[in-house]
Amino acid sequence: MGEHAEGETALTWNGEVCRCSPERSVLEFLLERGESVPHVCYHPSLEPIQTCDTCLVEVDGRLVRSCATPAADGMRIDTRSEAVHRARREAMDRILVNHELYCTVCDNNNGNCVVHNTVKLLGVRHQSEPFSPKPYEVDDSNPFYRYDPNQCILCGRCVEACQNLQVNETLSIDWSLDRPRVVWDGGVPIDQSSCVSCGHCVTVCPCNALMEKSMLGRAGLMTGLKPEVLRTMIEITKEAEPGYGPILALSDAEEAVRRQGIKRTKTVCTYCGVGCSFEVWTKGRYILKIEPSPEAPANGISTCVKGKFGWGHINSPERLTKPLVRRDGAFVEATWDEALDVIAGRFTAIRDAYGPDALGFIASSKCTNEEAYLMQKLARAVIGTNNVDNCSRYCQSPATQGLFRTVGYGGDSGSIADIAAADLVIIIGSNTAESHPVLATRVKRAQKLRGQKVIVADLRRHEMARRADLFLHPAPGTDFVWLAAVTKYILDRGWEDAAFLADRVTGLEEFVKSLEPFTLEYAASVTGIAERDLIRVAEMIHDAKTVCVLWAMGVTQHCGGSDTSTAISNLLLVTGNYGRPGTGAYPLRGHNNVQGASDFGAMPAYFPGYERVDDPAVRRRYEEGWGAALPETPGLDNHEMVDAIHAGKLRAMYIIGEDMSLVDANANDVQDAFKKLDFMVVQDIFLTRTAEFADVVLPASPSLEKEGTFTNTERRIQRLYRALDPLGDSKPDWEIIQAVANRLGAGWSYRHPGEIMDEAARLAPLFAGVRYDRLEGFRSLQWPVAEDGTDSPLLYTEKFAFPDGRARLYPMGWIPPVTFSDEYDLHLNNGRILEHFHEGNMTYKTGGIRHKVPEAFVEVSPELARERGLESGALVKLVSPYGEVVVRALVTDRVTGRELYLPMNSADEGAVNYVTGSHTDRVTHTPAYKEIRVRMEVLESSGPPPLPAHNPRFHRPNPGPGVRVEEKWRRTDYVFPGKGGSARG
Amino acid sequence: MAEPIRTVIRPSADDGQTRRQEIEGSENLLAEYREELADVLDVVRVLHEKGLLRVVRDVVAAGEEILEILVNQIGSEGGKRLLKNVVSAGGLLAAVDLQGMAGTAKVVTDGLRQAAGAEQWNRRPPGIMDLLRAMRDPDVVVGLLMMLQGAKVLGMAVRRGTGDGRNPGAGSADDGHRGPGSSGAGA
Repeated sequence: MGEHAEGETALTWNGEVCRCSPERSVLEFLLERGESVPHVCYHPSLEPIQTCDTCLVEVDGRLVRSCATPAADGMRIDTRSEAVHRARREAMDRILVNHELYCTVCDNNNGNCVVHNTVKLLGVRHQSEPFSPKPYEVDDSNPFYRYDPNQCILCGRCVEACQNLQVNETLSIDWSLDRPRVVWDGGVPIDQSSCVSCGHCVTVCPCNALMEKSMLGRAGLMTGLKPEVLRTMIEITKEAEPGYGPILALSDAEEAVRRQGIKRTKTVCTYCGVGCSFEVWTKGRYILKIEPSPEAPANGISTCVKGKFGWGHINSPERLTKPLVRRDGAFVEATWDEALDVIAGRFTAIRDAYGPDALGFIASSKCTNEEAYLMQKLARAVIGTNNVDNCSRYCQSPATQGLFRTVGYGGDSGSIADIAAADLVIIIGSNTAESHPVLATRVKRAQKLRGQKVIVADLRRHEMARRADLFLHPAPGTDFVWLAAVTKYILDRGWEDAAFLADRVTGLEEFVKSLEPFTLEYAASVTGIAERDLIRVAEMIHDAKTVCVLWAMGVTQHCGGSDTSTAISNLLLVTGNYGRPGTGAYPLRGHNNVQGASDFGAMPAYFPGYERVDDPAVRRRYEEGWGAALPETPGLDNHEMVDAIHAGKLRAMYIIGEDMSLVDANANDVQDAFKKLDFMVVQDIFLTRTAEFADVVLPASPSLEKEGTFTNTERRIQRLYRALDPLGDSKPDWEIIQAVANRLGAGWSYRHPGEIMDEAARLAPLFAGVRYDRLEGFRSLQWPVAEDGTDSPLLYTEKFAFPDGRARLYPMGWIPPVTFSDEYDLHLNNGRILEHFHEGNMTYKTGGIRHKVPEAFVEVSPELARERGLESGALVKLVSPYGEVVVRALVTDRVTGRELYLPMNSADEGAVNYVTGSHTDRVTHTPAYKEIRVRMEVLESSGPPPLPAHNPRFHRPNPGPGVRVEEKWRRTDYVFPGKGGSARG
Repeated sequence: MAEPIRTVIRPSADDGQTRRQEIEGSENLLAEYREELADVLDVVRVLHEKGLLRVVRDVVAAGEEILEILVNQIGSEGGKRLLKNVVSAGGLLAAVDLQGMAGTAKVVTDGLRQAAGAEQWNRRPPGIMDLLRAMRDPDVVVGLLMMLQGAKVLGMAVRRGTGDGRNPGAGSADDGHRGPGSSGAGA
């Protein structure tokens, strides 16, 4: 045996001496070697479960479970002995006692059924013990999936995924039952449990016990038969068949045929900024299911309810399928030619009459990078204005500003893997478990399995707050103060990373001076956080070797949003928490492509790659690249465009995929502005509230009907592929923008989004090495990407993105939140919930989601409810200086005192922006959505609860360590395979 | 001043322009797949000439109903027995090596020839005494007993099938064709 690398082990495998990478189990070693080891309960994304006993091998002459046996030096592994073969067969026999094989008429017969494939691998032809049904009914109660106990082999994958990957902690196996089964919250119907329908359990199920309802009766050639006919067929074949051989052959043939009709397409989720990627399985236009994959770089096999099940918008009958043109007070369906003629004519006339800056363009952060690129190119090169922006203005621009000021790049400084690896995660103003559910699972998992510490600062006691090691409840709008005080305390104690500051950071002296007012005493008086808790925060940061800070709209949507974001980055710099694995700043991007829309230049001051439009050298590069003279000064942002309409300066708008009339603050004011426009084009998949103001509405295609790339919160660029043809006459947005540009004389000739990306990569150094062939399948690139394709999962390892390579501490003072008259006595917090996205235009199209959350509501604290004499279901009117909303109340201790929470998921009279105002972050003009006070009028003191009893929020999970396989092993009917005796699996 | 509107006017179904667009779209499709469509139409012509097109249409239209009838028919005792026999026969045929069978037949013939007094069969057909003599051979006796046992099983099966079985609840002889304790398998 030769020398081996550090950490490697040398062992003997069937007589051959081999080397094994460090920290591998025997099973992982064997699989890496290409050995066909059966393994039913093992899943690469889960911890070893040890329930199935099919992966047995002999190690040093003893039968062991290879999944849970670490490969060790000098170990002798035998996988071919008769004892091994017999024990595996015995284990499989016991599994099949719990599972009825009827593969040919099973919707899970898609080539990836673990039970089916293991039966084949082991060459099982007969069972030594017959299948024995369990005395439980199928649980069909959840709208998205069903559990069939009779098909459940009790492998526990679903439990492990729920307890330790998703960490919702709902599922367990009740080993105390005569016939064990999976139970929800200890034993209630699925729909009456704390299950959040994330789909993890269904994804990892190795057979058809847990199935997506969308698959049932639809996936197979003969699975759509009437249940009684199907049952008869199963019984006949069971009686007639002498063994499994012919059955498996027949079902394999059936699978081969059904595969021809099922298209599997890799895509990227269209909801939040986590950037989950997975396959979508379609049959014709029907969406069979979302199939996650361990290969997915951001999420692995994880999904949330929206990504796994929320695709009802794709085939919604409400989809726009033809262009609409406003005529005589109504929209009239038109041809593309007619619509484009109207647009070109009106745009040209308005530009000729008022100049190019009379037009404004809003790109969509739901659309692709390529579409954002084309939108800003249309505005700049074809129309001649820099009036182009996207919805990051509503949420994330302040975070970007904070990072621009201090470290240089406007993006997360590391990856989700760094967040999972951190010793301490601080979450500020982010309801991560609901707004970025899959990312939250990585924090919950690290906390549960590895002891990661978590601090949460938020107004609401949401899930992450409940799980936190330390929960801070600052007064609204005061995060800056406690952050500054903690930073000062750390410096005062000498706990700063002096070497890091000396080597890599500038501006310390002035920064320290700026912190002088922020004593603990002052911070406690302003924020309401006890001094001991502030000290505890500082101590926890000091004790941690690696710290990540996550923040979202609770920070950014304030008048001082940019400053608080800057304060976060300052704190990380002072403590040396940049540039190392497990450290960094993570503004959690809200939309699937809110990062990319800005990255690719849909901003008034920046070309793609954040190069300023007023930099002559940069502008010259683009003028040469595009063959057009370009405007020299930054244009108007979203907020300024609305003001410019009221001022009569902006006369026309082209808005893509953004329901701006509802999601911009002070919606009444925005809608009044839209009425004043001379001409408005809206491009969307639905006739949104914003589209109602348009002169021309263009039918666009959603993510599944087009190709392109999205960039997630980690700066990760990922490809999506076309799963379906565009519905009706709708078109992908990039095709529409190109058609508009060409009707205006641009002469563009992009045939595929890849050509658009090639052009962007040529012009923007940040994306120099981004090419579609480097993004094939589940491959991805995190910018900056060098010409040779080297990307940057972790930023600032060597230097910061400033000319001198040094980060900059940025001194500031605190900007107090907006004040209101005493009449408005309640603070109105607002934001997301798990089930719905944004104003709900897409998620309300999925019946199962509506079943769980049918309407918007306002959360009221128990103490306020008592004071006002209302209960859950009461109808209340919330009145602000800017407008009013009417919603039903939900009394909950997630909020406290005089703080209310109104989710943003309504496009009707509950839409929160009918009460928000026009104050903005002073730097970026992001609306201060979170700085609003209202008075509450009780219209009805009781009524139907806005959240049904089957919403998971009302139910108590059942946390546990996992499958508790020891309980199985202690059962009297369990015998370790190879020891003789019969047993149930 | 553009007030918000939701009313959408769709051209009526007989609107000439829409119709023209649809026809134009179809023509484009025809042109794109001209060769493939020619082949498809040729297949359709042959099916039509043979009268198969009508049959296929009727079967497809009756689809699930036909399948239900078939499944119920096969689900009857007789149907299941037929299926079992087919499967068993298939299994037997799959197990038999016909090349080897020829050899076996030769062995049997040779064996008979070797039975006591069989040499003269080459010169004349065997008489009843020759057969009785042959039955003194122990190997012949074993073979005959096996054949008789087979005949008994066949007879029992036939009588049970006609409702004349003396022990209708008893397991059939072919119960044992599956592995011990097997539940069988679904399709």
